[in-house]
Order: sequence, then structure tokens, then C-alpha cells
Amino acid sequence: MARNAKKISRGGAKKKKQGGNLMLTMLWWLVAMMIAIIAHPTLVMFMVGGLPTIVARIIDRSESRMRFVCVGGLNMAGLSPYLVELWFSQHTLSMATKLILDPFTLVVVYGLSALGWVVYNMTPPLVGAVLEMASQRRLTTLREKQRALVTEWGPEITDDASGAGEATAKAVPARPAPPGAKTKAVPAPPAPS
Amino acid sequence: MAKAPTDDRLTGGTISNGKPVLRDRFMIDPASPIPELDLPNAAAYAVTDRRDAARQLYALVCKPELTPRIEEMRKLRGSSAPGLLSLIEWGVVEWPPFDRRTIAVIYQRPMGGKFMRGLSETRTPIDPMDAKEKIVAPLYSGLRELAARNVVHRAIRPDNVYYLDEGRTQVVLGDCTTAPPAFDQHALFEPVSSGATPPIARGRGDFRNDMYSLGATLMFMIAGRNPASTLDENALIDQKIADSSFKVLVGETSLGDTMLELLRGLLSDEAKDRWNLEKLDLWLSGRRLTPGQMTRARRAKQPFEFAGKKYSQKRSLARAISQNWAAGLKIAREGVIEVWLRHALEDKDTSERIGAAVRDATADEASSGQDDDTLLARICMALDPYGPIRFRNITAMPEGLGWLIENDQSAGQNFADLIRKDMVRYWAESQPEYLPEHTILVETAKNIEKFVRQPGMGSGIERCIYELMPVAPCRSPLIERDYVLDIAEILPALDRASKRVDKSVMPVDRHIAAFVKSRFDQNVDKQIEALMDGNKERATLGMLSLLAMLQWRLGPETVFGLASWIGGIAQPAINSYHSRTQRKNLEREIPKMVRRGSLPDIYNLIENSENRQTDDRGYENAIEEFRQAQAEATEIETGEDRRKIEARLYGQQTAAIISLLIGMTALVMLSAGRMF
Repeated sequence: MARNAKKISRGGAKKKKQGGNLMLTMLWWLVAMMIAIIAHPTLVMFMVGGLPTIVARIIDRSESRMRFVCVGGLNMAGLSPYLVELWFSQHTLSMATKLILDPFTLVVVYGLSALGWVVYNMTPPLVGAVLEMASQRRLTTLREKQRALVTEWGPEITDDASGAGEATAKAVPARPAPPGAKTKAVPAPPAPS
Repeated sequence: MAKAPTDDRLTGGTISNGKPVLRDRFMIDPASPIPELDLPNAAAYAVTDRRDAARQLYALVCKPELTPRIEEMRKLRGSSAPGLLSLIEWGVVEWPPFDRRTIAVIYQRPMGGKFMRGLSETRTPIDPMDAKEKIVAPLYSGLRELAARNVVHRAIRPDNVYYLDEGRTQVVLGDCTTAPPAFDQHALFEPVSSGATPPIARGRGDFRNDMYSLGATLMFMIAGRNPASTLDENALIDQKIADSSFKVLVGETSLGDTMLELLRGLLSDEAKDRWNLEKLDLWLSGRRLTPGQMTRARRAKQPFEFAGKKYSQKRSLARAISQNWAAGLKIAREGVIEVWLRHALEDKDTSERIGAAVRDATADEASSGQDDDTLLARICMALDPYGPIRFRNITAMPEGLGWLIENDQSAGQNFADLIRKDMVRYWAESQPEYLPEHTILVETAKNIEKFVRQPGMGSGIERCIYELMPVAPCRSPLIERDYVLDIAEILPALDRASKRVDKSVMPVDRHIAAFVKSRFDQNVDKQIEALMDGNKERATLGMLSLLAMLQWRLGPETVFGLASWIGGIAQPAINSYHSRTQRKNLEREIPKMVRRGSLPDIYNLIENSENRQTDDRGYENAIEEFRQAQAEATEIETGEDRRKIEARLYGQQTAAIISLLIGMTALVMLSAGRMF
């Protein structure tokens, strides 16, 4: 019964979540339709100029799924002058068409999108190299620290630190006990009176 | 620093012009030997008394490998009784011919020389009629003096009897201290039980041994030669057992009744029947005593055949068993000896005693496994109760065990078994008469049993030597040449040893540890325990602590050589610190302490509790730091794949963020440019 109840409960949550997503999707569509109605020239600019970003979103198989953001960012940078021109001159469909179908515009917009693609592919190796360099520097620092510890405290520290010292301690008699441990300490000669 | 009072007789004296000087007074000249006064184990040399050059003295220089009778030297020093050679002084001296120290005993020089130079010599016999006044009376005085000082002589024989004056009229007993008791005695002068014991293991014995020796010596003097010269020592003992000492030594010699009476009393083979000083005194004063009944050992109707020979007396059988122990073991449990005793010797008591021993052995076999050796030793005791303990290859009187193991370390294992198997108690129980000394012997054996059971340093056979012989010198090879008798002399001896021994060895060995534990009045158990530790660091600290304690309690103030020695081998103790900086500090400081010659200072420097705590804490922290560094380094070394994934992820995110920022910035900037 409880199991069934749980299933029912889980099913309820999923339905709730699906319901939430549906609402969000519907909200997005509502906003998009409002923009399409109010700013359809801008939408045309985005639809044509943003093709590389849309393609990137569709074909992206990277772990982070951030290719479209990277392509989109520079795509936006390429599109910005023409969007500003559209917004601040005549925000009409003919103006949008004129601007976006200009070959130079397309070269700029798509060229920057291509640059975004390149940046997305080039940055991970660069970051990897930086991370590797940092790791190697940290490793060197750690080894130097360990060498300093061994120099000061002797090679036995490696055994004791790795736990091999415990096995050794069981096999060989103990070193002189610290002064607190009376049973094992070597007695001192009488103190001066 | 407390300093124990030391006896300057034990400190080695001084050397003046190559001549050892004892107590700043008696100068012994190694270049002036007096061979006519030599003893078998002590050579005689001329002595000059610095305070009285005209005094006629001589020194007997002991063989250092034999422990002499130092207690007796102490008791006899200053004696000047008639009939006894005056022991003027004694002490440890540096003896150039041996290139080591040894003991020298200074005696008044007997101007008439020895009564006889050797036992093989023949001289004019003493007239039995004169012997009473010329020999017996003065020797009786000597024995009386010895008894007053509680000294048993154990060296009464014709070549140790001297004429004090040049006219050869005053007879005196010679030295009895330079060798172990009865060590130099021919079996002729010893009762059967002692004669059948190896010389080194005869033990102190009692006054009855001296009375027997007096009788044998007297007979020798009356005969003017060895009365049993045709017999070697073994045959002589066998003959004494077979026929009685009186018959062997006196035989058919024509002597007056009075003298016969004396010799019969002195040469009695039964110790309890032998004359004592009181009877001798009565005899000297002319009183006729009831002649002692000569009790001859009973002979068996049928001899007992053992190892191819036939024996008719219990004592001779016991002797034969001790000489052929393996054959004895074969018959130990067969009961044949019991049957022989009961039927052929009609000795029911001894037979029952042996029967009881066999029953004990059988009963114990199931539980504690009492072995054939124990049983056979008990059988020998039953057969010859006055005889020595016979156990495997050991034949020794209980009092002689100390000398035996000191001189024959190879007997150690058998000695240990002898003590473990309670042989001394069995021996005491088998004695026909009770003497208080027996209880002391049993107690002593019981006390040393624990040392036999613990083979570690400060125990074992070495400890037994020093417990059984309170005056034995330390036999450590490191300081043996220094003849250390007193615990306070240990450190000075080690200080001198530092100049000649290999300084890589520890200055405390098994003998020194045992000597210290036996003679030192402070508890050094923990130091010795540390010394035995397999860990070299702890062992070095234990050694240092022990020696520092000795110096603190007994002095001397400085031991530069020993301090340097210890400084050289203190590395393991220094290495007990983890911190190399601390070690370097100690290595820098130790030479300063060595120059002070103070072992406690070196100990306190190395075993400073504050430094030790700091070191231990530091080491623990260092381990933790090392462990963390190791974990992180391992993670870096093994995390390349993960780092690549991360780098790709971070790279993509970074590229996206940068790109987005550029896009947004461009849009905002251009918009703003149009607006304003």
C-alpha cells in the first residue's frame, strides 16, 4: 500500500513538474508572439542573423552545451550595429530586410559567429594548459615541502606518514618513550641536591 | 656529587721506579723473585717496607685469573699469632710482569724457609716423640688463631709449613688466601669427599677439613716423605675409600700410642668423628682420649658391576657414576642399585632413600618431567652423602659452585640446570647431620635460581658468579686487567680502558651489568632493562643512564676518557631525536660536556625532557603535514583525466561567458552611442 502510495505520490510530482514546464513554455511562446507582433522587424533580423546560433544549439554535443551561448554572444556582437541601426532609424520590415540581406552584413554577422565557434573550440585547451601549469606548480611546492620535512625529520617520516611505520613499530622494539610514559622511559640519574 | 668511601687497598696502589707500592708503604720488587717461597699459584717477591727497611717481608703475587680468598685476607690482616705466618697487608697492585693489576699479599718472611719444597721431596723424618712439641703444638696455636678469626685454612700441607727463624725451630702455617680454598691441596691432604672434588670446586669447607689436613701433614712429616707416593691422586682416593685414610696414610708405620691416637682422631673419614680443636687441646695437655672407633665403610658381599668394573662400596660406586655419567643414566631407573644395596650391602636406609628418589622421579615424570640426570644425582647423594654434588659433568661442593662457574664458563648450562633442578636442596637434605651452613647454601641457591632463569643482562651465569662470590673481581674483558673488586672502581677502570679498547663497543657488557646489579646498592633495573632493548637508541640511553648514575653516586668527579668514549658512541641516543636540527645541536654540545668529563651532564643534555617533548610534538605535526602534502600531490599526479574534463568544461563556460559579455557589451555600447 505504502509502495503504491509512494508511486502515486511520485507520479503526482512529475505531473506537477510537467505542468510547470508547460506553463513556462506557454509563457515563452506568449512573449515570443507578443515580440513577433510588436517587433517583427527585429524578429526578422534575429531569425536571419541568428541562424548560426540556432544551428549551434541544435548540433551542440559538448558537455556544457554552451556552444550556442558562445556562438550566440559573438553573433549578437555582429548583429548589434544593424539592430541599433534598425531600432534607431526605421523599425520597419523593409528596413530590416534591407539591412539583413546586405551581403556585407551577413559576412560581418556570420563571420563573428564563426569566430565564436572558433573561440569555443580554442578556449578549453588554453584553460587546460593554465590549469595544468598551476597543478604542476602546486605539485612542485608540495614536493619541496615534503623534502624539507624529510630533511628536518628524517626519511622515517615517510613510513610513519604512510602507515608503514605502524607495521614497523610492531616488528621492532619501541623507541624510548617520551618523558610522560614512565614505564618505558630510561630513568635519569638523581637530580642535584 | 656523592662519593662512596673506597678502600685504598682496591685502588691499585702506585708504581715507583717500576716497582709496585702497596698502600704507599710496601714496595714489591718484580726483579727480586724468591722462588723458594713460591706457592703453586702465587709467586714470591722481595718487599721493602718504606717505614722500616730492616723488616723482613715478602709478597705473594696472585695469579689474576684465580679469585683469591679476599675475605680471609681481610680477617687475617694484622694477625701475629704463634703458629701462623703474619699477614701484614694485602691489596690490588699494578704488576708490570703481568701488565695488569692483581692482588699481592705481604707476609712476614719466614727466614727458615719451607718445611719441604715439594711433595716429591724426601727429608729427615720428624721423630714422633718430638712432633707434639715441634709440630703439633705450634700448628695448633695457628689453627686456634684461625678459628678465632673464623678462617678455615684449607692449605695445610708440608710445603706450606714454614720455619719462622733461621734456626728452623718455630713452625708456622703459611698462606691460605692466594688461591681458592684447597685449590693447591693434593688429595693426600684432603678428606675423601673433598679430595674427590675438582680443586676449583672444593669450597670453603669447615674446620674439620683443616683437622684432616693437619693429620695428613703430620704423618707426611713423621714419614719424611709422601706416605702414599706410589699412588696417584685417583688411586689414593679409591684406596682411602677402600681401606680408610688412616690405614692408607699411617699403615704399619711404627708410632707411639699417643701419636696413633692423634692420627686416628684427625684422619677419621667420618667428619663427625674427626677430632676438633678442643680434643686436640686435650691431647696436647696430655689427656688420653677414648680412641675413636675406626669406622670403615661397609663392603658388599657381592660387588656391583658398573661400566665393566666391580665396586664393593657405596662411595666408590658414586665416584664411578660421576666419572661415567652416561652409563649411570642407563641404570638409574632400573632399581639395580637399590637391590644391590638391600641384598649385597644390607643397607636398607640408603636403599629406601634411592627408592624414594626413583618414585619421585617417576611420579614427577608425568607432571613436571623430572629427568634421569636429577635422579642419578640424587642416587649419588644417597650413596655418598658427604660427597660433592655430582650432576652431569659437574662435581662440586655446593660452596665451590661459584669458583667453578667463574673458572669454567662452559659449565654454565649444566650449572643452570643444577640450580633449576634444586640439587643444592637435595644435597642438603641428604646430609647425615644438620649444619646451619646448609640452610644458607639452600637459600643462596634459591636466590640465584631467578638469575639462572633470566638469561638477560644483569642476570644469567655472570650474575650467579658475583652473587655466589661476593669478592670476585669483575671479569668483563673490558676491565679485567684492572682487577675491579669494588663497585666504585668500575668507572675509573672504564676510564682507563677507554685508552686501549675498541671505542665502538658499548662500555657495559654482561659482566659489568651483572657486577653492578650485584654490588650497587641502588636500583638499576630500568637502566639494565633499557640496555637490553633491541632498539639501539634505547640501549644507548640505558647504558648512559646507568653509567651516569654510577658517577653521580660513586664518583669520580671526572672521567674524561670514558666521557669521550660515550660521546663517540652516543649517536644512537642522539638519533632518538627526530629533529635533525636538534641532533646537530646535540652533536655540537656533546664535545663541551665531554670536556667536562661528566656523564650526568651528557645524559641530561641528551635526555632533556623539554627538548624531548618539543621533538615529539614537532614530529607528530610533521607527519600530519607530510601526509596532507602527500595526499594532495597524489591527487594532482593521478588527476590528469579529471583535470582535462574540468578544463574542457571550464574552457567552454569561460568562452561562453566571454562571448556573451562581448555581445551584450557591443549591443549596450552601440545603443548608448545612438541614444546619447
